[in-house]
Amino acid sequence: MKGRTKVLALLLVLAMSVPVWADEARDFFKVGVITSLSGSLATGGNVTKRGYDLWADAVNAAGGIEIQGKKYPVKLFYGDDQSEPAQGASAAERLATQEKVDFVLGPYASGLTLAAAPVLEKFKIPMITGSAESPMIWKEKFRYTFGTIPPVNYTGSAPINTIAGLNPKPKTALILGSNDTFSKATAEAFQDAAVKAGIKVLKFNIVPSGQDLIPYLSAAKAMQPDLIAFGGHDEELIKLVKALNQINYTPKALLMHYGVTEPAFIEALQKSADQVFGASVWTESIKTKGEVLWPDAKSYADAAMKAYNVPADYTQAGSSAAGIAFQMALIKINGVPPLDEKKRDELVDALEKLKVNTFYGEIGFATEGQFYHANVGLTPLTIQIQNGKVVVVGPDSLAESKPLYPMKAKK
Amino acid sequence: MSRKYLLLILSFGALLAVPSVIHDTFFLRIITEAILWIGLAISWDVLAGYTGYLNFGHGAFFGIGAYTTALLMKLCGWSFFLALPFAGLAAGALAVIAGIPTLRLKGAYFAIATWALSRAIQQVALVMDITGGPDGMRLPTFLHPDFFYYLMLGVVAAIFALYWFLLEKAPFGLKVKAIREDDQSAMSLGLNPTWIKLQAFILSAVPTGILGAIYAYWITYIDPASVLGDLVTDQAVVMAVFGGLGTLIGPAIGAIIIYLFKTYFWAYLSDYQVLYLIILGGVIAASVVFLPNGLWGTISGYLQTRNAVKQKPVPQEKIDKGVHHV
Amino acid sequence: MSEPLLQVNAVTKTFGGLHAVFQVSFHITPGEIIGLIGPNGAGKTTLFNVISGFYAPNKGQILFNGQDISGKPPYKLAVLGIGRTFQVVKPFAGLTVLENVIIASFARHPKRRQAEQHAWMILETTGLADRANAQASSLTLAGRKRLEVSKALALEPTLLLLDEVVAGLNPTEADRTIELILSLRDQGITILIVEHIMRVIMNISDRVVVLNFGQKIAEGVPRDVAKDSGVIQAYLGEAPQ
Repeated sequence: MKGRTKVLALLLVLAMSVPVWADEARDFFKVGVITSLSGSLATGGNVTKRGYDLWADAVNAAGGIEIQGKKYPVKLFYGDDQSEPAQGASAAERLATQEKVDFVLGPYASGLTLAAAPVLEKFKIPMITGSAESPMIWKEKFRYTFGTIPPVNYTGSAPINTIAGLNPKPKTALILGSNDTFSKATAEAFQDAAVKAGIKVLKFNIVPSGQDLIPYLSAAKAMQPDLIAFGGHDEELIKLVKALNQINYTPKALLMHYGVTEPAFIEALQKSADQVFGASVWTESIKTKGEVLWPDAKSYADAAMKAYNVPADYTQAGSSAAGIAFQMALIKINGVPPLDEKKRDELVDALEKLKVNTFYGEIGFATEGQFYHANVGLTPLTIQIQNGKVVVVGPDSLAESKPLYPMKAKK
Repeated sequence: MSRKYLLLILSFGALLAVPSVIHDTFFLRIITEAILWIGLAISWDVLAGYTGYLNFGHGAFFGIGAYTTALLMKLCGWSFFLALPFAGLAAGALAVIAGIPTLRLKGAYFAIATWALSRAIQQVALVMDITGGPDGMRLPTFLHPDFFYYLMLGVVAAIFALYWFLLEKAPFGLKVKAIREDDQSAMSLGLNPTWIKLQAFILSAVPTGILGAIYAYWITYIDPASVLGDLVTDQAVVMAVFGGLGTLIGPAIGAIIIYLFKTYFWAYLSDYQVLYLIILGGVIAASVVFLPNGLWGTISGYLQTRNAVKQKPVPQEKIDKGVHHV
Repeated sequence: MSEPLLQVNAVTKTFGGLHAVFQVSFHITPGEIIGLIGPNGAGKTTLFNVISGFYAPNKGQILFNGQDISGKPPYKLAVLGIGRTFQVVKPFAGLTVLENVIIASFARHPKRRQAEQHAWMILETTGLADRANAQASSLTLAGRKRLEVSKALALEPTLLLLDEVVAGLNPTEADRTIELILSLRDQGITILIVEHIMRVIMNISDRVVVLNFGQKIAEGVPRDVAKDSGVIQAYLGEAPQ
């Protein structure tokens, strides 16, 4: 029982009803974009938006997606999830029922993806997220949800293995992680890989985000761990390096993720950033060959810089790659807009079978197991800061330089 | 008086009919969420406007209800309707545990204490393995827009009716207001302020926990940020204050206006989204300055004055008989 | 001699080392009007607060109808039959006059309907019935003092503690209030009244208790107390009333 203005509100809502157009033929693709354009995750959300926009602009610059001789441009329809799961679900519902989009480019964060996925599953609209990668998503086995970035428990072992292969082999490790989904998973992945590689984990701690790390590090200094590995974000990574300088301890190797590849990291730490290891699935300099749009990593990086004056990171790259995956799959099924339910189902099948080389690396989604519908085509990279530059040092097949090890004390 | 009832019943009837008329699941979702916010705004107002205590940790009741439901459904395999009352119970238990020490505090101290408590609860959810920590929890998927619409409408209507009865009709409402106005005088008249405040706290908490349960099942994903963060409290406060504290219709109107306004901008004017925040902030600031009783408070105050002017003084016979309807 | 309604036995109330009330003893028999006087700061309001449960005595006891009520909270005493007014009036400002009294009526009439009827009766007694639907905040001081009395009356108390209900009123209003107090006594309510206005106290009290610096310095019929040298001494140096 509500007030009289509830009646007014009802009228307002009815007035807002957008008339439902019949599914007429159109000569462009309606692409839904669900990501965090506002709220606490807006920074990351905007990274994905840049990636999606870059793809759409590049496709449209070429006239559109070419299917059977005809070109179909793409039009993006944004749904801001406002960093709230309820709004993520609402955005999905709106894009599905009001805009009737053909497919969706997905959210920055895993929580929002988990909220939007069931809705898109119900309407049978495929979604590829260029950023979210938590194992929680793939565990649910949503048929209509894919991701171009593999989960951190798939990529986190690579840098540990690279470091474990160095001479003299690190024997002990201190592993820390910030208490947020991504960082915690990263730390756990590091721990698993370290144990498997025969490195003794002296201490493993998940700490509340933003907490002062000096107490942990001071205790660690006594244990003299060869390797210190940390899962965290941007500011936290910078603080950790500074903290290590403060307590005057230099491990043989320092590994951190995610943020080592960010320009801000090097800017803030200058010489202290040198020799720090990080993880990535893509850098501007890796030797990839793209079948469509951008022939290699560098051309993408240049295009991104030109468009936004901000260096592209792997999340942005992954987002553009998501668009490419849809593009290639649509060509394979002759998917002409508007896509009906049957065609969208075919699109999912095509995505599952997809194997394409892009500027981003290989895209190949797993079709079973714990990485279901995550992109396992990529090769996880170990990177290191050398002379103020991000350099790939592992695996050997993609290394641009030898790792600098052990770490020299800075003074 | 009966005109008010009639309007409320008509509105409820109209809302009941909506899913038969509007089949668009997006609009159903919008109205479902608007109704959720009505529930959150009025439940916050029970303690704030009626009792005079500002609970800046109100969201904790919502989050506890959500997590209780997720845990019972996921870990114990319970059905939603079995878990639902326990969500309310959990929130009620929290109200008792938190209320006994904090309701003795005055004004700002109570606000700070409840806010701090809700932060602590969020931290607990962040570090416990059983709640999934920062990863949150998923609930079994059950996407039926009509089901959640009727559920939300029915529950919020029941909450509204309960509050209406207890706070506007039954002696409890006047007792609560007495405590708000002057608890010393109230004590001298036989009222136990701590007990009454605690009852109001529980009355504010239990429905909020139930709403958290519905939210969890509806959205299928919860995490400490979304259900134990600041958003629920902040929005409920703004809606209730804007609509008018100390009434039920005030926060309901505030919830509807602010939610629909915000959603309209988000859905149809997303390019100007930043503008929405500026406008909303300006409107709220202006309303606090110019309409301290809120939108509905001001409107009803105006109507009351207009009616009072028309009202004749109470005739002597009526006073003698001791019979009079307020 | 009837059993005392109220017995104050050597009550002491201390605040951080300072005795606000020190070993005060007296009793009130049913049907009496007892005046409590003394210079400013003598401890009258503190004593009121102890008797009405707002403070617990540090030493001594309060017996009501033979029952020890020392330290019992005010809301329990209200139910037992003790009503009080506050020196600085405490209306429920945001509520109507009628609602103020309805709330007080709940103590004896838990149901809304009966409470409302009772409230109307009380308002008629105290002469506020025509202002029933007015906001309590809109009353003049005289109205608020009468509202204060109405609320205490609605409890149907056996013992009524009146704290300065006449001060600040003009002569007409003051006389009306005195009439009201006397009629209440006629209805069988025992009254303990604090007043600065001597002619009021001396005219209506059966007995008078005098406090100074927290201690009882005199007790007796008004005529005798007025002649008491200690009382006169206490009031010398005080501005004449």
